[in-house]
Amino acid sequence: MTVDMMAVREPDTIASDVLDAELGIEGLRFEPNVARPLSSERGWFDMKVNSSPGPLVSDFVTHGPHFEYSTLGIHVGQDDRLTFFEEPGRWIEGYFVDCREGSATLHRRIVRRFEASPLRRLVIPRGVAHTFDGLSGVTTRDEPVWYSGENNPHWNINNDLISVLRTAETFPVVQVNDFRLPEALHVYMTQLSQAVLDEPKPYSTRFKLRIGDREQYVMFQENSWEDEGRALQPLLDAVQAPGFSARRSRYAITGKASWTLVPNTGSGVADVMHLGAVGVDAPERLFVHRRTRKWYTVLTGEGAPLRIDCLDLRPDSATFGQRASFMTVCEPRVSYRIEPGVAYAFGVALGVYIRSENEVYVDEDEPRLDLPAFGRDFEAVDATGFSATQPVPPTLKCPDRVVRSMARFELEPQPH
Amino acid sequence: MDKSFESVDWSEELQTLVSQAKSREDRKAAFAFAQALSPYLEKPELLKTLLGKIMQSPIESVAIVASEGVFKSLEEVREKVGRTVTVVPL
Repeated sequence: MTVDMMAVREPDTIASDVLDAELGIEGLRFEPNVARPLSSERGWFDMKVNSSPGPLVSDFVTHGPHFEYSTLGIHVGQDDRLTFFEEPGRWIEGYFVDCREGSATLHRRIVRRFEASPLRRLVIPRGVAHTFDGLSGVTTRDEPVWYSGENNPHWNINNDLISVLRTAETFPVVQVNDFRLPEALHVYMTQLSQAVLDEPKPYSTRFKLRIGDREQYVMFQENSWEDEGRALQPLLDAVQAPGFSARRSRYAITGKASWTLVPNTGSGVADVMHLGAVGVDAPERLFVHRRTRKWYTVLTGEGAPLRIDCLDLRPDSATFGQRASFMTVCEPRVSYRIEPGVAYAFGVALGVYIRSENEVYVDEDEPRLDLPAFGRDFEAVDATGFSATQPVPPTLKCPDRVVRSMARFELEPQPH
Repeated sequence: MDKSFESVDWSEELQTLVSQAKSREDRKAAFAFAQALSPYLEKPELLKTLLGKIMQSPIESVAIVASEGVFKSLEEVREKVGRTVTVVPL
């Protein structure tokens, strides 16, 4: 048990319906997310949480059983924007210390208690030390905003986190970076981290130590967590069908059975969908996208039964009309890739949050009137009987910037 | 994503993006970013995760080292944390 000098403070509770609030340190606040209910089509998602306005890049951190932090972390070149995903009733305590050089609230310490909610995000400015209790089973989405700096000894681009033990009695004063990266460099950075994490890597901590006669930062990379968690390969092998495949997510290991997922697609855009407890019986309806390759990653409910049904509706496919059903488990290290023209449905006995990523396709001969319009690429089909006449999916993949433009368009107010 | 680490010249792509920065602020940010990242692109074996995340509680030996804070040498640090931990001075 950690002896935590901050835990003795009585936390202020933030009511669950408060989406927009300042929290007591300059820049530390809740902001409302862009979230909306979806169609009530049975078996389909009931809510979508869009990427937030900004650089439109994100990563997701899962927290295994008995997860606990014994350090606070300080970013030098990154504002965090965190959304906490879990079913209602999960309370979290956040601990914050302002460590920014020149800040009017330097070394102010606060504790806030709040409920996990998809409807708001917590903004933590760079230079504010933070840690949390109560995250076991919760998945956090971070939509970082990155900054660079010149001659800043506190910044390490390879590991932008200074760790401070929760038992520390004093906190450092940190110079933060000033120059916000252009959007193109946010995309570059997220693509680079995807490439680096082609194979999973353990994360590391960085502490300031005195070695001999000088102070310096030292990074510690623990290698004993690599084999934690359930065996992955059987889960990948078990779910393979024409146009529907299970693939290993790209991730870093952040603790015992805890992972940081980076995007699967080059655009870096990821929305989050909520799938209600629709059950694991055979579905009545399946859902198909004609222009979109979908990537789904189940973020919460790890280990819970997950039913997957799919049906190949690509008329040019040798397996046209072939249907497959699988029983597997929710596992964030597995992503499901679904080709355009392949219908599918997921079934779970408890509500879960699912990351959704898109790659969009276009035909050489557009407009294709037999395909749905861009941005409305969704159809429900009967699970047992389907038309023998199906459109051939397009095969030209749009550049990543098209997906980013579509995501940005979706954030704009739509006419009713 | 279609790009693997080996299939892309990340340094060249970075230089292209730096040259495309339009405003004075963007140029300054891009230049400082490139300056910080380039050493790692030249020695990719040094690249870790490029993520800033709080890690779950470090193992006890690392917590003890962080708590003590003062050492004669890096060798002393390495001995204290044990073989399962890689120590990288920055």
